Amino acid sequence: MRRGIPLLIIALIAGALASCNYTRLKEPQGSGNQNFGDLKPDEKLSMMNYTFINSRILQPKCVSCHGSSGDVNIESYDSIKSNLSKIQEAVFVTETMPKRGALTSEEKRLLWNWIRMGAPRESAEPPPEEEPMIATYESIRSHIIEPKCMTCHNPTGEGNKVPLDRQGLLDSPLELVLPGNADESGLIIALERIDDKRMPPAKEGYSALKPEQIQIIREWINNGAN
Amino acid sequence: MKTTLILTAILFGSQLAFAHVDPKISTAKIAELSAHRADRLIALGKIDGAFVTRTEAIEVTAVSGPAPVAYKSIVSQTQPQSGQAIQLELQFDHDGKPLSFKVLSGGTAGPDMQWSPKNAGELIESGMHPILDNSTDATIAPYFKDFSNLVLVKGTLAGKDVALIQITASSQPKKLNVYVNLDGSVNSIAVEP
Repeated sequence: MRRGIPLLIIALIAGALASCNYTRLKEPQGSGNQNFGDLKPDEKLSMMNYTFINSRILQPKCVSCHGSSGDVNIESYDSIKSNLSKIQEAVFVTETMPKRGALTSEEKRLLWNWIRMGAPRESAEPPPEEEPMIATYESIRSHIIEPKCMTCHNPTGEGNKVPLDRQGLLDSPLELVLPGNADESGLIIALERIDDKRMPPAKEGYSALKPEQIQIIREWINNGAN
Repeated sequence: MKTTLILTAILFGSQLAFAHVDPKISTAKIAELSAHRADRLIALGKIDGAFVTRTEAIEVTAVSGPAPVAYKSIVSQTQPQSGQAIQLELQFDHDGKPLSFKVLSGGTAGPDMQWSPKNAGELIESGMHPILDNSTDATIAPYFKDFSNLVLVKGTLAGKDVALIQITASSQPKKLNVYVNLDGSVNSIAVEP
C-alpha cells in the first residue's frame, strides 16, 4: 500500500501535465529562431488581414514582378495562400526577395506576423481609419515614400543614389526639393511628368500619384519643406 | 602669445587656402548632372528641347574661381528645334548643385541622329552610370577622375546599332568607349584600340 502512494502521485502529476493543452506557434519553415518583432495588440486585431498586407507590402513590392506573367503569382489571396511557403522561404530564409530592394524592418515585422497567424483574409476587427495625409515630411513619408518609393530608393535598391529622406531631398544636386518653390522642385517634376521618367515608374507597375497627393507634397515644399 | 597668434593665423589661412580646392565630386559626375540639368530645364520650358533629343557633346571644366562656381559645362546639340546650332552653358558648385545656365550661340550643326526609344540625354545618363559606379576600377578610374568631355555618336557592335559615348580624360591618350544599347542598357566598355 505504502509503495502504491508514490506511484499514485507520479501518475497524477503525469496525468495533469498530459492534460495541459500547450501549442507552440509554428515558425516559418527553415527560419530557425528568427524573430522579426511582435505585434502590438491593436495591430493583431486590425492589421492582420489580406487587404492591409496586400496594399502595404505585396502590391508595392512584389506584384510588379509576381503578376500574371510571374512564376509565383501573388495577385490574389488564394494564390498567395497556395504560395505561402515559397514566400516565407524567399523573404525570411534565403532572403532572395524582394529583388528590387529589401523590405523595411517594419514591413518584415508585419508580413512575418501575418504569415505566422496563417495569413488570415480578414482581421479580428476592422482596421482603424487611416490618418489623412498632411503637408509634413513624416506624413508624406508614411503615406507615399515608404509604400511607393522605398522599393527602389533604399540603400541596396536600384534608386539608392537618390535617397528620399528629408535631408537627402534638400541636399540633392538634382534639386529634388527647393523650399518655397514646388514648381521647380525635381520631386514635383518627376511626379507630374507624363513620359517614361515619371515617378513612381509605370514600367514597374506603379500608377501615378493622385493629384490631391501631389498637391499636399507641393504644399509641404511651398511651406518651406520643414 | 605672439606665437599662438601666428600659429592661429597660419592655421586659419591654410584652411582658407584649401577651401576652394576640395571638390566633393568628379568632373564625370558633373557631366551626368549636366544631362539631368538639361532635362530639368526643358521640363521647365526654359531651354530648347533639342538639348536632350539631339545632344551631341558635353564638356566639363573645373573652375578655380570666383566662388561658389566650381565647375562649368557646355552641352552641345547637333541641331536646335529651329535656327542655328546653340550650346548650353551650366555652372555648378562644389556639391554639384546647379548655379546658373546660359544659352549660347555657337556649336556645329550636324545631322539629327533620331535616337529612339531613348533620347540622347538618356543615353548619355545611362552611359555615365557605369563610370560613376566603377570609379575604382583600374581602367575606368582615370576617366572618372580626369574626365574632360564626351561625344555621343552612332556606332555598331556585332552588327547592331548602338549609341557610342566616347569619353576623353585629360590624363589619358586614348578615349574610353561606352557602348549603350538604344534602349538605354549598357552594352560594354573598352578603351579605344
